[in-house]
Amino acid sequence: MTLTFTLRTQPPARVPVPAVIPQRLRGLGPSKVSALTVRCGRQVLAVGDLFEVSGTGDDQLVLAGDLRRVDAIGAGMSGGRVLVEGPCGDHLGARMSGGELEVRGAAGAWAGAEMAGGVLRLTGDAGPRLGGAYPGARVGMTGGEIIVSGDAGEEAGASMRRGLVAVGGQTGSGAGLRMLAGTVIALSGIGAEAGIGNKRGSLVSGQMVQPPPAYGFATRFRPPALRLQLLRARELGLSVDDAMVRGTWARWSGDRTELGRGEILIYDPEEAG
Amino acid sequence: MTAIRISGGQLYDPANDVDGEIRDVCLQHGKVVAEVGPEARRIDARGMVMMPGAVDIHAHIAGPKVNAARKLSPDERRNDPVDRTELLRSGTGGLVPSTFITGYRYSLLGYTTVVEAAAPPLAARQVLSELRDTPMIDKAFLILMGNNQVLFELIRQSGGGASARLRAAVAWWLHATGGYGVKLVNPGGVEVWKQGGGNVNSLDDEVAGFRVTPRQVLEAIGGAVHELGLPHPVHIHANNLGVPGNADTTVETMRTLSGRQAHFAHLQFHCYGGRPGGLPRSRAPELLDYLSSHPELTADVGQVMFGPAVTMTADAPVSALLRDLGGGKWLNHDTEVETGCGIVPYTYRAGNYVHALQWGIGLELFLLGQNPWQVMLSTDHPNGGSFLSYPRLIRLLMDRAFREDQMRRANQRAIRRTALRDGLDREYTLNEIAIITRAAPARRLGLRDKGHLGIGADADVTIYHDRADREEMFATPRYVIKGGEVLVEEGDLRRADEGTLLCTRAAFDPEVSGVLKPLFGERYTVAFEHYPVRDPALREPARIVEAGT
Repeated sequence: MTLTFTLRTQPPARVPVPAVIPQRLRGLGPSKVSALTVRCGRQVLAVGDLFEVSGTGDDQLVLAGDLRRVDAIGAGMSGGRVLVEGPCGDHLGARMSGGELEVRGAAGAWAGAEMAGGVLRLTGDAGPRLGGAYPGARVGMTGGEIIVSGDAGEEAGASMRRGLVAVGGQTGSGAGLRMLAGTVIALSGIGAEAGIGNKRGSLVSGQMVQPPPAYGFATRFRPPALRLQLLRARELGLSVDDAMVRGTWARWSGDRTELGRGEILIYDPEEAG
Repeated sequence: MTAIRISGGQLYDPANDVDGEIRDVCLQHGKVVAEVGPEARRIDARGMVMMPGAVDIHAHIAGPKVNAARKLSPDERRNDPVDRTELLRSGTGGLVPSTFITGYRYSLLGYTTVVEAAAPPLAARQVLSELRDTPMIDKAFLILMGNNQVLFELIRQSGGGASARLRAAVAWWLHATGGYGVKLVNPGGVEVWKQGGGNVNSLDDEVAGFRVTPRQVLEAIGGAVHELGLPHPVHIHANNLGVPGNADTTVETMRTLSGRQAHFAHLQFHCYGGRPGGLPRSRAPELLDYLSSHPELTADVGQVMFGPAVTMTADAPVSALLRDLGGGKWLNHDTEVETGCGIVPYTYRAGNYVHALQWGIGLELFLLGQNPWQVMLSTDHPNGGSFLSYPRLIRLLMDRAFREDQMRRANQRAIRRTALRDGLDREYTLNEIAIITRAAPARRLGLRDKGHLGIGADADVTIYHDRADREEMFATPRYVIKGGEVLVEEGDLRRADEGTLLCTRAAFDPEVSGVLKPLFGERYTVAFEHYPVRDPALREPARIVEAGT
């Protein structure tokens, strides 16, 4: 059973919709769901003013339309499935702890921020601080998987403690900033200044990059754990080259101004095979 | 303003020797009156407990350091947003709530008066602005004078003692800022820290460049406050806070002030035995002995509560030590000429020896002390824990079984080193709770209309359900009445009230400006003429408590 939200018109200002998650809507019909309220700037609007709601809420929600002004879709969800047909705003799936959130389009900033569990999939690009930590917080993402087919913005996986962020395209500058642990993969290359302040995290770049000065070259090898992670990313819909799965990677250790137990793995096609 | 008759409740009004008698309390025109007419609103308080509105003698709720703590920990507040309603403003909660929420939440706990315990006088404008935006409660602030270079200069000139000039300077500062009283924080030590020299270790260490010692500052400022007859005596955060063995310094500080009235803040942090650098142990019983033979001294406990806290203090060197313990984010700040400030988010853990010992020492101070009028309730909010943990603290004091259960969760090596190991069986009575949260703080602050419900007192009343679970009882008062208006009913705010600023006034010789002006010119970046807060929007209306009465 699916509950479908189709955007009627563009809202006059940004609208966070953290109430539109499966666990809050279970068993509610369209009329009850339409009567729920959301804040839009200084105004309070009914969900029904913004969306045409049809179906019944059980474990699957579908949102459709140009949702770039709609924030916090799927934020805090703990189970079920949310499918978004179209681009969406900021804080997509922030702090989600379970379930599956799939977006056929791009997302704004803070997608999957401080996520604790579940799967977040984006077919388009992600904005800055994908899977990141909110200001002031030392710990960002603590679990779950984020798969982005496009590119990601700045500081993807900032302050991450655990989990997987896998990007088919490139990440912007500062990926894995102050990372504690966890893995950030960018198949088309991690951007500049990746892994600054990284303690134990893994940054994975499918293209040659220059690691920051506080990283030192360690070795070339075929990392078994990375192979599993790449296969998992492929299982979740990311297109991963076989050569990478089997390939050789250069390991750079750092950040030596921090604990220094983190790594940047850089794909080395010369050694492939 | 309607008249109110509260009938049938048990009244705890220790200042008037009323201990749980069933009485009616009548309120009209913001005061307690003998009788009201039949048209008065009736509040049926049968089966309930009535107390005067609670008074917090030592908390940190406004000013630059509080605001800096808000900015330092947005993560801590993000999960506790408070929406605007028809009646109330929006804000954020957490350990350091925004101004409006601070007022609302204090009110929801039955507090009607709160004192901000440490404000740099230079920041009086900000303090006043924030207090203006802290609704529901009456409020006052104490100004920091223990590390002020201009005052050091005057102390040196007077040869280390109190002088007419120094008295006038203290009174001028209160006049210039709208402060209610005088606070000394680690006198001399913060200035030494700011010079890059660490801290003072004893009362006789000299502050470089000023040739004054902490002892002289205590004598001079403590003496000046005493002689001015300010409603609240000098409020002291002694030297060597948190250092093992600091009980010696604390006793020495008390001796130095001998015969003068003084209030010691968060005494728990100041009664450690042991050697600097080693493990602390408790010397609370010794300090309680000293207090009991010196009725001119009082203290608040500064209980630590297990869980998250935010340390914020003008004692910048102590803050620097805390930073090294935690390794997390921190802030240290110089307020020119006057003081310093440090902020470190902190967590007290039950399994940690030092934290459990601090917890135990706080309880020792409460439970071994014979005179609740001398030892008052505080957590030094938010240093030892949020003010929202007061109900839990009250339960720790009133419910032995609960206390022992909590004790078992704490570090046993620490607990064995306190008197708690002997199974202290004391349980506070409601009357004693009314003393340590109302009557004693109000009396010590010199607020004659507060902390009691005699005829003519302010109509500040808190009414609780008499529940066996004291934490629940004190966390959710049935009614909170302030100034004769019902602000809280059934755990909901029903009325917005601005609250009143409390100030003091002491006469001084205006000639003192001639002395201060050149000293200001030499040191401050603010011109002497611009220093006093004159803006009526900040200073008025205020209730003035005259000194020397």
